[in-house]
Amino acid sequence: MKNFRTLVRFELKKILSRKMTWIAFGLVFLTMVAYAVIEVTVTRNIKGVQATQYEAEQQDKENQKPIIGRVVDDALVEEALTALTTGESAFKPYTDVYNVIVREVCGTAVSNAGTLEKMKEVLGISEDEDLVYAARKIRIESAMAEQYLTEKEKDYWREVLENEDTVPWTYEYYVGPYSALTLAYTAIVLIAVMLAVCLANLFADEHQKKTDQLVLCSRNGRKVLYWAKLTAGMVFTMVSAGLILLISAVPQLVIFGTEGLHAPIQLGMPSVMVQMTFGEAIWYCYMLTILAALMYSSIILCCSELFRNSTVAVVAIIGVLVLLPMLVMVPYEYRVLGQIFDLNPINTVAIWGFLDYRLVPVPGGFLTVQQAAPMVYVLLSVAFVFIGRRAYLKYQVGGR
Amino acid sequence: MELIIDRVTKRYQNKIAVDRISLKLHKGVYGLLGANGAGKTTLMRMLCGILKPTEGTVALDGMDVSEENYRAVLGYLPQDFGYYPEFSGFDFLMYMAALKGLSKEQAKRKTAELIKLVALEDVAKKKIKTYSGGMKQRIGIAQALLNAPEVLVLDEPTAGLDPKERVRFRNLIAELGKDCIVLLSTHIVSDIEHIADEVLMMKDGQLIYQGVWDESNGDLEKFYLSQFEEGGE
Repeated sequence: MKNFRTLVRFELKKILSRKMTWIAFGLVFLTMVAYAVIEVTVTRNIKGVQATQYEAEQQDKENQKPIIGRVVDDALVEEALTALTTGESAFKPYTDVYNVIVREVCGTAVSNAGTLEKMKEVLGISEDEDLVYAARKIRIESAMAEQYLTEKEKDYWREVLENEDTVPWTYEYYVGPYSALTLAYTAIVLIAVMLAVCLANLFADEHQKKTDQLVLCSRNGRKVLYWAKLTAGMVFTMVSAGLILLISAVPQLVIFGTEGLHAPIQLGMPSVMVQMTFGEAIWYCYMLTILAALMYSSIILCCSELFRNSTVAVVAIIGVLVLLPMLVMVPYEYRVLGQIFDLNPINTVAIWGFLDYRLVPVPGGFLTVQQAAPMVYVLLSVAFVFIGRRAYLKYQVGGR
Repeated sequence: MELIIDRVTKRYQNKIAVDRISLKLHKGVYGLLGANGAGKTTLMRMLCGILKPTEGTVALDGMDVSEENYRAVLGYLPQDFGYYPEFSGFDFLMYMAALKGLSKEQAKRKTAELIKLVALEDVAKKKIKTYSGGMKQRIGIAQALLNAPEVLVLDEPTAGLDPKERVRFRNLIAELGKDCIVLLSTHIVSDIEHIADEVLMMKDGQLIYQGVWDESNGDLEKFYLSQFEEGGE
């Protein structure tokens, strides 16, 4: 493909020479920086004390020191329950163990039962079983029923639970990685908006500004230029998504620390069954975000060519793929529709995506949402690339 | 070198824009005349491969209009076209050169040469959005010549140019016609009188006149106008 690299450079120049590109990037950058700055500078009432988020987390980190490295088992839960009745300062080290783990797996009502024995009795757990892990299984069984899982799917997850090698968990402070993980959701929304603003014109402008006549009658104007435009769009997507993720994660890890990167994500979300550490989960979510961004680009570029109008591309991404999933939830009863809908990146890169137990049936077994999502995004990207290519190659300049 | 247009037709839902036009064009300047809506631009677009004929074929020495090799020897200046406002004139020509398949060295050499030819040296590095209408037209002419075309299709090339520039470009087109096939569409009959080796006249999608025009035929403008008076044939 002659002059391919030169054409890619020119297409990138077209994207980067637009004021809107820099305005969009500036706004995204400011949003992420402001988010970090607010955490460090703005004082508010956190757990009854006037403090910045940073100060509150530093205090929490300090408070949790006595239990860091301890195994999460009945002994620790018992200590937490005793401390809860003793007083606020005695309870401080156990705040997260109790609030995030015990209350999540046992439910608020059971957690208020007071003692370990009573809680086990209410939940029907035998004395020799650890409360947290046995209650977690019950909680997961109930969630699987709520999500209308088939027996085969339930068996799949039961087997996963039986083979968990991270149980029992060792408690660690994990706020830095947890914050970085939660920001993948904010990042994908910002990336989608940014891509819609910056790429929607790439093909549409040629038609709207009537440069298509010059371009399409040139030697490289059909096949080579399509791939050059696409490559430029994808390069822009990868670099901008990478930068947005970087400015999302780095401040969180710098402010709150990198402790907990090797801890299992179940410390922050006990009902998750996928076996990952916080570090792996961040890596997974961020890579998935980049794949999703590439899929968004292929959709934007396809719409830009198909409809020869940047507005349609913007609406397709921001309206249909970002706002709609944020505002609408398909009930679990509508299994297939709901599952397709929830494979949207807005849900899969979000932290709650790990709590979607619905499996995707494939020959020979199942794929988890985390396994299926990257494949779906790649397949959809390829499909939209070829739909766009077909439209571009078939386009005829007429009727003006 | 022979450009064969064989029974080319473009039909839209309820309109025939070009109706079975057949032509054999050789080196030289062909002046295409016709009122607005006569089908000139549609015909030119089909000759440039950016609009598919409903019927018929266009081929240069056996190369179909849809082939890459045909596009490699084609230069086209549309009547109404846009630019990349953030590109400088130099960037625009370098971009078009890359599209036309020129190597980097060829592109630089040809761009410098054409910028000089169209007298835009002083503003070559300025953004096109700062150019006047005439300057834009000149850069448009330059891009059409980048690949030393064998087939040059010019739709109203002198529109927006001042009289002095118009004469200069008219002479340039006449010069180009010695080595390639130039199809020139314009409303300015005097341009055609001065440089066209052959006159083509279109009305309602059909070719109503084709031939050499010399002084013995009388005034071309009068003849042209008579064709477009109501009922004129």
